[in-house]
Amino acid sequence: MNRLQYLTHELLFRRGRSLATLLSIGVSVLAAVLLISVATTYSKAVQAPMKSVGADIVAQLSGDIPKALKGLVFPHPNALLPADEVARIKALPGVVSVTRGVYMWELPPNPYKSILGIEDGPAGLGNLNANITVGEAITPDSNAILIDSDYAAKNGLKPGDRLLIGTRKFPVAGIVDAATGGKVVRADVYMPIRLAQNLALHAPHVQDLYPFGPDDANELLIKVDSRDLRAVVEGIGAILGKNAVISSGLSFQDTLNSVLFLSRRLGLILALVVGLFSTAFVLRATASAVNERQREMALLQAIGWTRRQIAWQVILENTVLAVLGSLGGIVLALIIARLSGGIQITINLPWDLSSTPHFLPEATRDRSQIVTMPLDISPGLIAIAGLGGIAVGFLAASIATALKRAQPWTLLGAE
Amino acid sequence: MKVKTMTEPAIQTENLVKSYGSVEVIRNLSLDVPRAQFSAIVGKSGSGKSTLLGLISGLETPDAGRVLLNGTDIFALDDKGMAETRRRQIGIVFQSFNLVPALSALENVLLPVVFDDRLSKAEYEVRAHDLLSRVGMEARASHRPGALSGGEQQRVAIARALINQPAILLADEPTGNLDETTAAGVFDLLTGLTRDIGTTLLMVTHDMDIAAKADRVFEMKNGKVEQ
Ligand SMILES: Nc1ncnc2c1ncn2[C@@H]1O[C@H](COP(=O)(O)OP(=O)(O)OP(=O)(O)O)[C@@H](O)[C@H]1O
Ligand SMILES: [Mg+2]
Repeated sequence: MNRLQYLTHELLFRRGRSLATLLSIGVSVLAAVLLISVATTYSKAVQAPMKSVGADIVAQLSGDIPKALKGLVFPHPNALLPADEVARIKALPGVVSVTRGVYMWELPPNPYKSILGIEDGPAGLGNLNANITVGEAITPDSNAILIDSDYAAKNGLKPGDRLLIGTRKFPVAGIVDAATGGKVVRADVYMPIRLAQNLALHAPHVQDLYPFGPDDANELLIKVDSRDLRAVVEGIGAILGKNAVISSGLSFQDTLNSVLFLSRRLGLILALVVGLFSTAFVLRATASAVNERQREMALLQAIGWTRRQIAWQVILENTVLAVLGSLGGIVLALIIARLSGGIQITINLPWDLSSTPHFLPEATRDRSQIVTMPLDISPGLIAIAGLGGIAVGFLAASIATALKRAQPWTLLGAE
Repeated sequence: MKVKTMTEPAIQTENLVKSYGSVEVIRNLSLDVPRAQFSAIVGKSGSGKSTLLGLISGLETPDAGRVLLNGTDIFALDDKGMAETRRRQIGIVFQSFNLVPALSALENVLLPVVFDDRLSKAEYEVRAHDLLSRVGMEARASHRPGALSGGEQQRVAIARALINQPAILLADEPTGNLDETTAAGVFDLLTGLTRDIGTTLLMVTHDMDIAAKADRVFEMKNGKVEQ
């Protein structure tokens, strides 16, 4: 017989006690993994709307309300962005790319629609073209437009149709399913920026308010190096001044953290509390398990085992249980994460970012967005939780075996 | 180098003192136990017999005095040295058997030599089977203690105490928990097997019939012995 056979016999013989230790470690690991993963997944979900824009920051400038609600107008959070300010934003450190857009409403006499003209690029036309469900993509010099799937359904539009905007009819190239992507910057009609600039240039109620030129814009989609996000947001604020409307993952997080119960930090604190409680629990369970075996440990001493060999035997047993418990906890966490279908949060988009004219009843669109994210359990989290569980089991046994015991002879004499 | 002769006592205690709180159980006790013989310790209940055996085994620590086993002062040894002395030179049989419930009879017998490499695992297994058959337990080798009667458990415990062919075997009322006939059988086994391998047997008993069979009888009174 060797010590591993002894260990196996011991663990199997005292199934109840083994199971209790195993479960206490397993449940702790499970709770910690799930809590941390919910917290991290939640914080990712909060960023999701911005990610699906294809940009990290959307920058606008707040202006005046159109004098007459007729024809093509700029909504008031979409004032003209002066070209030199756009250039300064492009030059901010950390800015990877800037995609310009022109956002407009068309009000009566034509039926209401929102229009977004946008530059080429991954945050612009490229992003839209990637989500086309029917029809064809458009290029920067195309004269055709893309239609949002909701709008297309409501108005019975399909590729090949023509849509009246202002005084001109534009051919529809394709339908974009923006709803599934959860687009933040969403419009009924998308077109190359060139066409939108031309429309704005000839729109009297735009020109009433702003000296909009042939190469101007009223909305910026900005990609940044994520480490610089906060700095860039502050930099844009400084350039655009007090009327700046800047939306980023940060703004969602800031508004949502106050409403929802789980922030990443809270998750970590909870995991820490769970960790501490379960460490104490495992310690107690192990201490009483070791205590139960005092007599056996005294016997091993009487038949010539060293204290070290005895302690190692007990520590090894508990470590085996800790390894099994941690593994079980992790596997269970992965299964639960898979079965749960992820976490789902409802985000109410700020009006600025989804500016449909609420004064037009036929135009009201639900501004809430549901984001579903699979629970994210990273290898790092698995490693930390697993090693933590094993360490707790090991430490608990080490502490318990080091505790002062009664004299071995007294223990062995007991009936 | 000290030469061990047949005349040197196997066990010597020198001025042993042991108290539990204010109760002085062992009072300046000196004793020589002759080698390769059967010695019995007798005395009234509470006279300190078990305490003395605990001190000799090193599993109790004295307040003062020394214990010499084959001339070695065991309390001068560190944990490793003490463990090695027990593993190589001592066997102990308890009144309450103290078998490990999770292990089979055979595994219990092998438990003292898990870390011993004087013989191979296979050789120790042969010896364990041999001992089990000598105590009449070979057929029950794979049974756990829970499935064995008191007398059977004590026979397994005797086999365990002899797996290392100890120079000294300490037994504290080994038949105290057994009925008369079983007790007689276990006693015969113990004396017979130790005589075969020339082991010094020191047995605590309050059975006067057993004491009468001893080569030497020590009587404990007031924490001392009378020979
Ligand atoms: N661990 C202990 N703590 C306190 N007192 C103890 C302890 N062990 C023994 N004693 C006391 O020491 C005295 C001697 O005990 P011991 O067990 O050596 O007696 P004994 O001669 O073996 O008796 P018995 O024949 O009943 O087994 C008793 O009074 C006992 O109560
Ligand atoms: Mg006693």
